Amino acid sequence: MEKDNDAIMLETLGTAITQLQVKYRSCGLLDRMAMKPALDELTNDYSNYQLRLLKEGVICSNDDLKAMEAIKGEIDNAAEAQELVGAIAKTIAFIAAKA
Amino acid sequence: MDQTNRSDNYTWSSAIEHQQEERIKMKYRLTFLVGFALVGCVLISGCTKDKAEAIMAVSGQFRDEASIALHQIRTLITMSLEMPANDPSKMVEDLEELKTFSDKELTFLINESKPDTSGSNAINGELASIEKQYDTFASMFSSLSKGFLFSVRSVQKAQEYAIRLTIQMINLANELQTGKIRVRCNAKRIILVEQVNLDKAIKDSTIRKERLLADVRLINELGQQEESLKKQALLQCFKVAEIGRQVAELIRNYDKLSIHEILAMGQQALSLGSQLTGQPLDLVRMLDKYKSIETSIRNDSYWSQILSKPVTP
Repeated sequence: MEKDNDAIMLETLGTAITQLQVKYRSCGLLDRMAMKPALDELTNDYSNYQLRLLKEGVICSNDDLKAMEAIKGEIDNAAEAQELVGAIAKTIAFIAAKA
Repeated sequence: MDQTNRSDNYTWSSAIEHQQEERIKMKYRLTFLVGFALVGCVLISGCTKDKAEAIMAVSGQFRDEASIALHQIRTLITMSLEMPANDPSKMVEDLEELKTFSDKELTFLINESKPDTSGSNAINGELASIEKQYDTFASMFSSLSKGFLFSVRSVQKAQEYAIRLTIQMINLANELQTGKIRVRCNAKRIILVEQVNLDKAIKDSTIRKERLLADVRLINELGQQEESLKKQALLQCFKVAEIGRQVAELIRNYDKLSIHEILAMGQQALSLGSQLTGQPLDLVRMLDKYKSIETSIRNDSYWSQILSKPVTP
């Protein structure tokens, strides 16, 4: 399966980060202290890019979530109604038995 | 007088008999009424407790497998940026090279191994909200076995979300397959790069070649490990997609299928994991299969109508 430009961009960014991390680890403490903010910034850029690509596949929204919660409410109400009907049926059956 | 008494007794016992007959009739009427009402409800809704429990079980499986898939994706993303822990001998070198050591350096060394997590927190937040969608989907049916008689319309509404969540999982599998979610054991890669560079610098050619041969084995192992992690995550996404497809079918035919058919479909979905695990994987073919399911859903006039409908919470 061919990679599209987004996947190539992510790969390029990721490879650059790994190379920088190798370089970083080979440096002395003072150099690492100087490099760390730039490395963190690049890592965050990568994460944000990854997040954007991840979101491309997400098709359920907050509205969908609310709609599902509303359906849950309806089914919960139906369970209460069914329980009530069951109780009425039992009462009628009791009266019928005593009649 | 005797005759009058006899006549009174006759009237009295006849009244009692009549009353008893009426009571029996009333009993039958009430029993018939209760029975008729319950049978009527089942016939109108076409639903039974068994059918409801089948949907609850399969939607619960859908949520559980989705949670595993999302956890795997989270691990893969974290791994793709991870750095190896600091080597104590390297830290000794650090300390030796410094002229003075202050709290500034101490703080840096303590925090160095803790990565800046603002970027990965956002990814984890997104994955948690996706997981919540599958959780909410399953929770919709938590009372279904108690309210199956009056829930047919609500259950029908839920099918839209079964399809959306199924397509969403196919999309995530596609992102894994096309490299939009990268599978890299970054920390192991860094250690291997460092190791190969150290071994390349060995002057003795015999030792150098031996070490590099060992490195080649490690390179191959790493490649296989990354491929295996990708396959596991893809397989899990496919498993979720297949269960989601079954849930959508169960919901679509909730009021039409017989109990036996519903239970058979539910059983099929629940045993899917073990069926897939034992088979060699042709991932490209599987992805094509699931993409074709997605395409057929989008082209199906019934499903596409549901999917294009605006969401009304």
